Amino acid sequence: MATITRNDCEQNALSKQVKDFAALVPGYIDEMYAAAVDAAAKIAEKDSALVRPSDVYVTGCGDSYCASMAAAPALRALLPGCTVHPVRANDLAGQIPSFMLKKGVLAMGISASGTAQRVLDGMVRAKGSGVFTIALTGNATTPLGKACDSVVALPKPEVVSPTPSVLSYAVSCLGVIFTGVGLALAAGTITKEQAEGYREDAKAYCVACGDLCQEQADDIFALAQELQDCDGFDFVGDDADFATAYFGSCKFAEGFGPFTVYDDSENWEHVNYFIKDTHHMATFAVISKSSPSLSRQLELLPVVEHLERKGVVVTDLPAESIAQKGLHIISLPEAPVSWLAPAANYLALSLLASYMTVLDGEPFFRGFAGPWGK
Amino acid sequence: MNRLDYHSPMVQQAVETPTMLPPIIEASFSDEALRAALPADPSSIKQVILSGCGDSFASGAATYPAFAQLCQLPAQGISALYCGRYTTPAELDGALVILNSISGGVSRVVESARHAKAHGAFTVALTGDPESPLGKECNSVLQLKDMPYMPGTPKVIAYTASCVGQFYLAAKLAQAQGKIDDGEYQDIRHALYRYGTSDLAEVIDEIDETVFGCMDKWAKFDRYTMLGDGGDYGAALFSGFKYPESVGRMANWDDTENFNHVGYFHRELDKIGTAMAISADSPTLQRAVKTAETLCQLGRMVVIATDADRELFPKEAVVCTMPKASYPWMAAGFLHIPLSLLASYPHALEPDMLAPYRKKQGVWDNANISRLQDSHIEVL
Repeated sequence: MATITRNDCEQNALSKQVKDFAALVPGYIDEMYAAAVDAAAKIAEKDSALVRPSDVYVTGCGDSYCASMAAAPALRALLPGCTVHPVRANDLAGQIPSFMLKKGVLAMGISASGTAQRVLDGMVRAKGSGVFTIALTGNATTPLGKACDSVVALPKPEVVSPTPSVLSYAVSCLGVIFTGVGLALAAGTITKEQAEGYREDAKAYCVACGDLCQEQADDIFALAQELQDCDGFDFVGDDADFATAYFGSCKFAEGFGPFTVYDDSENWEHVNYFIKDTHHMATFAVISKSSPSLSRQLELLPVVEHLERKGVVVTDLPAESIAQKGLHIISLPEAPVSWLAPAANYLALSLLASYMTVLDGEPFFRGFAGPWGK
Repeated sequence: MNRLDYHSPMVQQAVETPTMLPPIIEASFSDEALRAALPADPSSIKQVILSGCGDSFASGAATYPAFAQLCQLPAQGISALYCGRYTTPAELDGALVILNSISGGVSRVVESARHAKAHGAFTVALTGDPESPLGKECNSVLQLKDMPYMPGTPKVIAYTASCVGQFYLAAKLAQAQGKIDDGEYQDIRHALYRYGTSDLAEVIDEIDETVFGCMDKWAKFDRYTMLGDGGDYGAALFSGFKYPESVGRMANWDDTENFNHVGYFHRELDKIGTAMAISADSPTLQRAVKTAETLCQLGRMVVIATDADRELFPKEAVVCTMPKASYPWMAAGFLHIPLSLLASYPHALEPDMLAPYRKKQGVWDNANISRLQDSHIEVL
């Protein structure tokens, strides 16, 4: 059988999204910034109180739920005094008590296609309870767009279907972040110069992440080969880092279908620490230098090493500052603003998922064949 | 095989809940004890956070809807890491923060207590040891008393007691705030006691037989997925935790919608056991039922713990029917019992495995590494 090379792995549409990331995403950011600032200004024109909500709910399904978690720190920073709730679409659709959904609250629903039924259910319920609703979707004519009070149009990356999304995820994360920027600008919490500064910071950071990922592609390919004998993948991160960890687990599941587990760095010590087959288990720790729980995340690393698991650290910390030399380090650039980190720090995990899918010979989404084709 | 021969200490904690629970409730959750756990002015409470690590995190995730529904207050069940390092001043303003830890010695809950207090929250330790670091750190203590002594075994009855205690506290806070009257408060107390004792006693043997009956297949899986929505997600979390703890196998957890976007694509379906916690009164019941149908169409083995009618679910699913709960929030605090049995029997049946918690053998012998009680505490 012919040996699979890195070049072979670069041919699929998941690798291509990672490769194109640095070239495409800055343009998406410009589009979304303009759309979000415009939408927020119109909302403020209607009622200035709407851009100063007491609570913000952000929801989506799958990757879009990840995006809601990833963007939460940005919203907390941009909308001071506002409580931000990244929530599962099922929760907004029914589990959250009605008395919490009321006037003065804002909800953002993410669905690029605008057809995710549970997101639609949640946003309709929220709107019916007096919540002001913003759809982050392809355009105003999608079902979600039509159901909400306002729309921030998301660019639609051209990707061969079906392929696990990376660019759409970028668009979702950044769409929520820049909706937050737009609301803060309309509320007068930040100036136009600050808002434009965030836009330029985001563009520069996305380019830096895309470039550094490509620079590390040989290492990532070697790592993919090394991990081929693993049949369990464990992803650990806290808050926004959890979103990146969880997104990584999604790409693995969608890509080549292995069993994936995920947790925060404290709970991991109480639960997944006890997984028995340590030699066929890889643990991925996503650690941002600016994380409020950095000290706890770093305590995890000697434990992973001691367990003799294959360990991978995805971090913007200097590689030399990680004392556990048996762990594989994937380096990230430092984000210019801490809450921008989750907007692009998932590229290496996505590329790894892509390479492992090719090495494994597995079709994306199981090819929607057999039991998955019903 | 006779299932009674496999009633390990972990199995016993589930099947003997109806006899283990009454002394705990009577010793721990008197009206006086509950009142003493609350602030002098209960009307000062504007929101509620339930938190802990591992099982204790799951118990908050299972029971927060009781606070939301009975007290009509914003409530959330969150991990201690999130509570200590990520909650904002707005989330802690006027908050009742209930920190759950049987030992009371885990760094992260102590850290959460300090962080919450520093931002003006009223903190309650739900613990077996009032003299523990957590007990000493909090404004008040609700002590779990008369817990059966079962060292070295994954906990089930302690989790059940934690859930029940938090339900009692939710009812007491609702009464103290005038959200329910004394009669309703007493009705809830009686309903909780009855559900965990006599009601459960009527069905537990049949559930045990049902669960044991599927072990030919279930015990041979090497990975498990647990699903639930709202409070049922807490039951799913807890039962998922039992697999790494007991047999050392992987488990993950999700809600019934998100599963369709992610875990649906896991391959090697013959290696994965899937279980669901589904309350009859769940607002997302229909989505849960639909997901059960999807799982059966995939050919995955599905076991469902529910207090809803059997007829709602696909005939291929194994259904453990619990008594119908009297309140919409209540079943979520008990649906882990059948699911814990599911996690317990593989442990009892497998003859050559490492002991629970890997018995601190081999690579798990790492006494020199900071893990739980000596993790660095930071108050941000």
